[in-house]
Amino acid sequence: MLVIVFGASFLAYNLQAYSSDPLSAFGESTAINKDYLIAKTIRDLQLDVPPPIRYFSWLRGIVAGLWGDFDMGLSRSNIPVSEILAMAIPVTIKLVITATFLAIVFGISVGMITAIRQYSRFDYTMTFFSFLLFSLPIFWVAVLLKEFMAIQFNDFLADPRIPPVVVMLASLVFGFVLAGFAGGTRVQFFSVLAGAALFAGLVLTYVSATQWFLEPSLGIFGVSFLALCNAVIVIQLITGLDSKKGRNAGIGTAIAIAVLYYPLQLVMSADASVLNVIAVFSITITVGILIGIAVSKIDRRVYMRIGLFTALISTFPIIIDRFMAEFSDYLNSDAVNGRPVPTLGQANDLLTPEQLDNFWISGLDTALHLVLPTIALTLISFAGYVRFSRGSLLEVLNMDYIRTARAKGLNERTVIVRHGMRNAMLPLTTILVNDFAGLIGGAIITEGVFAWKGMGQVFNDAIRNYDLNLFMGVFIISASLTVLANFVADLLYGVVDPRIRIRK
Amino acid sequence: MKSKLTLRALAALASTALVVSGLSAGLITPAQAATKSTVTMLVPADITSLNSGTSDGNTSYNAIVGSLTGMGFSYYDSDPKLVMNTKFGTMKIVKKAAKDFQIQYTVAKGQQWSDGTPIDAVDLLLSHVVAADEYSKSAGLGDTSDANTKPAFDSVSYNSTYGQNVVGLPKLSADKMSLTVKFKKPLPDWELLAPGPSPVHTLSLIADGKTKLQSASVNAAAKAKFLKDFTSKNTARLKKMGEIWTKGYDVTKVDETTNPLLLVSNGGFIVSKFTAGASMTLVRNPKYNSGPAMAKKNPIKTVVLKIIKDNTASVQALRNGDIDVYFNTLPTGNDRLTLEALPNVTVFTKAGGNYSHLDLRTDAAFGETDTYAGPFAGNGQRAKDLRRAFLLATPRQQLVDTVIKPVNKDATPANTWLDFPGSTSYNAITAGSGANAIYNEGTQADRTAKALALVKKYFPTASADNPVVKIKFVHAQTSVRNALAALIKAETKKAGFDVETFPQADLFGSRSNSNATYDVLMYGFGLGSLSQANGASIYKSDGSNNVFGWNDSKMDEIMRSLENDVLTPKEITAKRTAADKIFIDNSWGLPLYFNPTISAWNKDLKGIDPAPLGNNITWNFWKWSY
Repeated sequence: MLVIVFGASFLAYNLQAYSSDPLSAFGESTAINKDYLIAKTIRDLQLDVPPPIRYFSWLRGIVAGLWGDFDMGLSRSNIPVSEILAMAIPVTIKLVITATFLAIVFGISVGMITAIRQYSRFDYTMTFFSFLLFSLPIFWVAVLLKEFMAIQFNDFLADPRIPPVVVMLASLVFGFVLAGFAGGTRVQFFSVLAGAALFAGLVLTYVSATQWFLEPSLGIFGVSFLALCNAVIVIQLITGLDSKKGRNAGIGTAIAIAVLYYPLQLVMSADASVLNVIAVFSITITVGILIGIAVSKIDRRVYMRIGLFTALISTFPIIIDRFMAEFSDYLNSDAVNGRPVPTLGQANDLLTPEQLDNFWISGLDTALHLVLPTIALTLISFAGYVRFSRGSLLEVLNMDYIRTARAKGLNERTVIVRHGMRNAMLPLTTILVNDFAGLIGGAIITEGVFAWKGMGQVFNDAIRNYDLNLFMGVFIISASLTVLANFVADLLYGVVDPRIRIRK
Repeated sequence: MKSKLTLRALAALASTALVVSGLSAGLITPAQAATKSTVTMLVPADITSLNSGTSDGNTSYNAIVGSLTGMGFSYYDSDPKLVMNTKFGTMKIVKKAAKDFQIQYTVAKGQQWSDGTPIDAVDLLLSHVVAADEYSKSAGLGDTSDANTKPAFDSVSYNSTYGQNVVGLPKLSADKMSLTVKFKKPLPDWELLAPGPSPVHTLSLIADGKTKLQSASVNAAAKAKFLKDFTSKNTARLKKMGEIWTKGYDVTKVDETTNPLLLVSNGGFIVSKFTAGASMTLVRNPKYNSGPAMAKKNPIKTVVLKIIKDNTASVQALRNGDIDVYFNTLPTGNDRLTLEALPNVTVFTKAGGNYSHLDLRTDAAFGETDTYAGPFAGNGQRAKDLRRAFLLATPRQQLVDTVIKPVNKDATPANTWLDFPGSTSYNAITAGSGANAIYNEGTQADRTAKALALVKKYFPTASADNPVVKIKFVHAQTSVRNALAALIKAETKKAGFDVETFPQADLFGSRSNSNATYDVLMYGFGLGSLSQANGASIYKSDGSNNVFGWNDSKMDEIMRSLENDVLTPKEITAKRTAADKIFIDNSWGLPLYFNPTISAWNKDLKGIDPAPLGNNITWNFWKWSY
């Protein structure tokens, strides 16, 4: 591995050194002391030393890391490269982690559903959309998102009523998506469509009529409803809905969440911190697990899992609801001035110190700054996962052991969830691990259009400013991570697939 | 049956929705925010340092911060004109002899740094340290004539006019409010050489390891210590301060952990928060008294500099109110249209300090050994005629109409690059040099016909269908330059020129092999100041930017005078006219146009007046208000 990183860095260093000319900036200079400035640049960047030799003086700083004297050199703006990277890495992680997580979860689930409903309307629609999204350039997606979800939405907030036509159209679209999801006969399709559209229509009308956007909240009803939906999905995935104990565990947890709604508000006070959020999660998860234990005598682990996942996922609405409670104050503060969704940036620079100290308001601010880039990144990378997981699951479903499983009378749910999905995850492992490594390398364009200074922008600046040390700093991190990720992927294979496990 | 039922249900639902949403109309009105007191301004590149005097920190974006946090003896206004800032101090010539030129700088009484320390002439001394080569050498801070040593104060100002002409140490007056600097000879741009103030006591305190603001007496002692170190050339102490001056201000963040001594300033604002690559927040300096008074009604209390490198992103940010002030020094017509379509935004276009020009090669560049033997080589009548023909056939009005008019409706082709368009001296120069008469008279068709006639003198068979004069045309590889080159190619073809264009990705890079092969070069220069010597580096036969082989002894004489003699404005205009006449008569080249700049800002914000020189938006922050 070290040899690969060494070779790659040597090549990259020389390619970059030979292809850039820091002195070209002086071509248009009319400075009186131009000659002095040129001589200075040559001196500071050691341009009189041939790049292959200069490489080793750079390498010495890296190798010195072995005895704790790590030195990546100075950037051209006289700032240690390590300091710049230390600032950029967290920014990049913050930007891409949610997007990647969402893309993986949604991409894989949608992909698997399309595989199960192969050649259905839903499959065709999702295939169409995933190819569409796949081919969209992100800077253009970003422009559209900014126009509609920031600028127009903020304008809309001045008078947050949804026109009835929009309500109807949106409800229909929602109905179609859900109906396609469910599949089945034509009658089933239309009844799901109608039900979903009716539901969406009611929600939207409520939102519009109460000007919900100005003071959003889920309330105990919203939280309970989401917990219930979520319990159903978790039960279906783990035991199937026909398991009585499963139902008891899942729905019991959902009810517990609803009961805990008011007590938990006390934990999430105005002077809360991350610790309080962790406390909320610990409480709900403990309750979920206890309910799992309570409803069963044998196979407790299964029901504990139902309780755990239902509680874990259902806690998010509670937290989100708490953030929403601050929205109105945030919206009307001087710093925000009625326009809450920013088109770019990492934080609102005008928040008062009191606002910054309030965990909920500063968290809300961060979340709002993350909304657009996260959607953009999710949309783009979502498509790849959809295609990959669809193909992977289809391949698995054609295997002999799936036929065997069906032949021995297992129900469809067990066949797909236990035998199908698990095996379909194998080839996805490599992609996932490499994607995570690639993340740290940054998203040059996304960071650019949303004005986030992460690794991608640092890399871009390094190239533009002929900043060799900075360039190499980003390169060495990306290269090491890629090599490391491949190694981890190999190990993970062993974990996921018993056949590849290293034999003793 | 079932589906029909649901459809009916849907219709019923929709009508309910309609009624409900209709009823709820106008129940709640959006909150009205208080009067704004913040300005968020676009900065299109990174801010890397709080000190724009070092070689690493010397960018126009760091200078934006400098213009908000520091005031000195003068500034450029929007005319542009050099305005003397008498609130800060005054300067005058106290002695003007051939070998003894002395200027006295007097700091006005009653000013304070933001930490309360009084400002006096001692604060001007650091300017001498970072610009006087002789001082750096004799104080053991590094010989600036040796390219291999890095001076302790790694400044961009060494080896420049001040350092080459200053004699000895500047003299402080008894009350320490005045400083007298002696130069070898009278200097034409003496007003531009005024030392800038620096809070020297903070440098002295940081060198002593202090990390907090100090009391008045400690500050006074620190300043006295600096003065002692300065006069006695205390190498060790000065080196320590040089290290801080060079590196200490290059920060990636400013927050409550930052040493507040680094932030002491005398401008309208003080840096309070900074995250590299993202934004910088500056708050009002309550002790500001070094420049014009702030607006009385609703002045600005906070300025945020937001770093956005993507142009589309910044336009959308302006639309969304994420930023209040936008500017673009390389705008396209599209940018203007987009900006003008935005509600609640004032759009402003103006010619900036950058101009585009054509330069024709006449010989090898000064000091270069390569030879040039193209159609424009030499100063014979034939070369002059061909050069004139090429320039006559350059469709300047069309170029302006195509790329500049969409941005700036009032733009016209530029006729000189020695002065700003619109000023009286500009008109005098362009009339006197003949540029206006030769290149603007008649229609382009007339001029192209004249050009063809000139070409036919030497190539009788030349015509639009038979372009015989082969021209190698080098320019930067950008969409605007490509468009310009295509227009020039098409029009000059009618005069018998066969132009081959060579777009260069990196025009001045060592890998662009354009040096030996081109006949015509199109690129841009910037008028960075109102210096009397503007243009010398390109007009002089040994000028650092004269890579075209232009050589004329009369021109050298005029430029020498502009560089060295203290002249009146009238004399300057006369000399510039004479210089431009030589330039036009020899047909060395031609300015095309001054690049327009575009700015746009929140309509409620008053007092913004973009300037072509210096810091185009922030120069008059004191006039800003809502």
